[in-house]
Amino acid sequence: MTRVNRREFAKIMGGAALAVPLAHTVAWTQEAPKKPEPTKPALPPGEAAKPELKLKLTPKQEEAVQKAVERRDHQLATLRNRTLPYDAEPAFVFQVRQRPRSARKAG
Amino acid sequence: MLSEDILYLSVQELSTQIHARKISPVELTESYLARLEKLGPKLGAVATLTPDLALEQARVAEREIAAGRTRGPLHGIPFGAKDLLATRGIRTTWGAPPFKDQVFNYDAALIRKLRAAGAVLVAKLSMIELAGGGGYSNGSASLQGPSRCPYNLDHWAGGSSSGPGAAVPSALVGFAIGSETLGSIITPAAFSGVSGLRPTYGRVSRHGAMALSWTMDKLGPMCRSAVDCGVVLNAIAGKDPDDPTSLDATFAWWPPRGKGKPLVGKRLGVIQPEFPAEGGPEAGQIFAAALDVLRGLGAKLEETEFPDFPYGPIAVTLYTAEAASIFRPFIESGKVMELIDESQKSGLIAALSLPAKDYLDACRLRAEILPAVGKMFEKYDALVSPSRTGPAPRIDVDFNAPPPRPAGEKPPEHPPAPPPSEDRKSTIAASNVAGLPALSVPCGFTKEKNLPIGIQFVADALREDVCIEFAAAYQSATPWHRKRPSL
Repeated sequence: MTRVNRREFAKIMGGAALAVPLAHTVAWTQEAPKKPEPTKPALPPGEAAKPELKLKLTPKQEEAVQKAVERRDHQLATLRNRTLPYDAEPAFVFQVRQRPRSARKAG
Repeated sequence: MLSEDILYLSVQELSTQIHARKISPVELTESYLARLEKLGPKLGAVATLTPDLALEQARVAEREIAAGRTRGPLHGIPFGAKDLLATRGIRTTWGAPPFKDQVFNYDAALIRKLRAAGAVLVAKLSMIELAGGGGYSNGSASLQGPSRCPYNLDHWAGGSSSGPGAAVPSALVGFAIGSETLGSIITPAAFSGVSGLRPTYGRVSRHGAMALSWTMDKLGPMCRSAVDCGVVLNAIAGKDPDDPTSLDATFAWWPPRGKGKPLVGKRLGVIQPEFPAEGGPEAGQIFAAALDVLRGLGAKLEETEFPDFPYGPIAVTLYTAEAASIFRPFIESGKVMELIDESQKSGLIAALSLPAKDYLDACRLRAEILPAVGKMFEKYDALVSPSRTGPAPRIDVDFNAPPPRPAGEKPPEHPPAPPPSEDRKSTIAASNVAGLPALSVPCGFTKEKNLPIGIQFVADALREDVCIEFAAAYQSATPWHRKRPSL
């Protein structure tokens, strides 16, 4: 087995790290170009997306829900207009479950 | 039956008499039960009476006290719990028709704690359906019907802890337990003339309470005095292994004994909101008079504002997203359509489509809010503001209706979003997002309609003692919390 020193190892790994996304890019470009699929027209600005529901609603109920979505979008405008610093992390409460280490068995 | 004068005593006063064996817990329980039966329906305060359990608990308390085995100041005191707290074998309706027959086979942690403290559960109290998580359009959005302000039955008791709001100032119970996600203790406390304490997030275990928002729900006492709130919080606070968000921080508080000017050297930051044209000016005058009382007690007052964040939209985003996740099976099954209030139905369905990025942004902003709001308490011992900017609305008022406009003026398509400056004065939204404690006490009544107005004290996290200190000092100098409705 060929031994490499630390400097050579870093050189190889650095190249490898770059190579992975490059390989992906090549793979993407080598695919046969697909015909662009017809996409749904984008919603006009200010028009809220309807929630996709498993629930069957009457047209009147659908209208009420749509109004509730619009009301909420209007309400949240000041939140959505705010630019957050890139490094602002969310205030979550999450802790991994730490199992007590079992004692090592002899032998 | 015991006299009305006795039933109106504070928890502290009742406890003194029970332990001196001048009042029997059984007789006290029977008297509150009779009053609940007589006045509960008129006020729309009761979801379920629990006479069998109550009398059994009262008899045990009486035997224990007679034998010299005391469990503390709540021993033998009858109380009511908002109907979102699980009680073993007793209906827990969450105020909503689809859950009208729901029965849990366990007690909520808070119910267990109060039982251990010797308190007697006499009633499950009414509430707005699902604590109003979808947004409701009026005070009738409850399986139990509208709860009425005891001082003026044409007006609403406030929500979503409506039953506790109606029951406490009418002396239907010794004290009550409410819950708050965004104003549900402070609002009924203000509208019904109650002393209501919303503890720090995590101070009281939420295990067994209906979840609306895991990161914003709090449970707290609603009483006839600020001191009573401290007495009850002593019994219900603390770490609970069943609620991973409960805090391992003891709350130990004793009623103050000092007299004179109890607030000398204390600094209060005053949040002065805009009072609306309708009902607001009188509320503003009452609030100004309350500030004068605080100055007279020695406090130094200075006007201030919350740091610039969109507290209202953040709060709405947090609880809407969490409620959508919690109630998703309920909504998708179509059971949501069995709710009473049309706004609740459409609001909960709409909640399913709230983008995750909004929720994450709200969580990220919250991380910035905590230190920014916390910094205010380097300058002030507490913040003070009106609990609400006006008195209780009439029962039939549509909350979604636009405010009255001058003749000929066309209403806007949407209600205008509050300007950023108003968000900086939104005490309920800012303090709930930051998880801070607040205590609302009555500070006066409107002249014509006899409706209570509340003042709230907000303190730093885990400093409920500071809220109580200010509110108790205020109540030592004012008569409002001792006023009784004529029923």
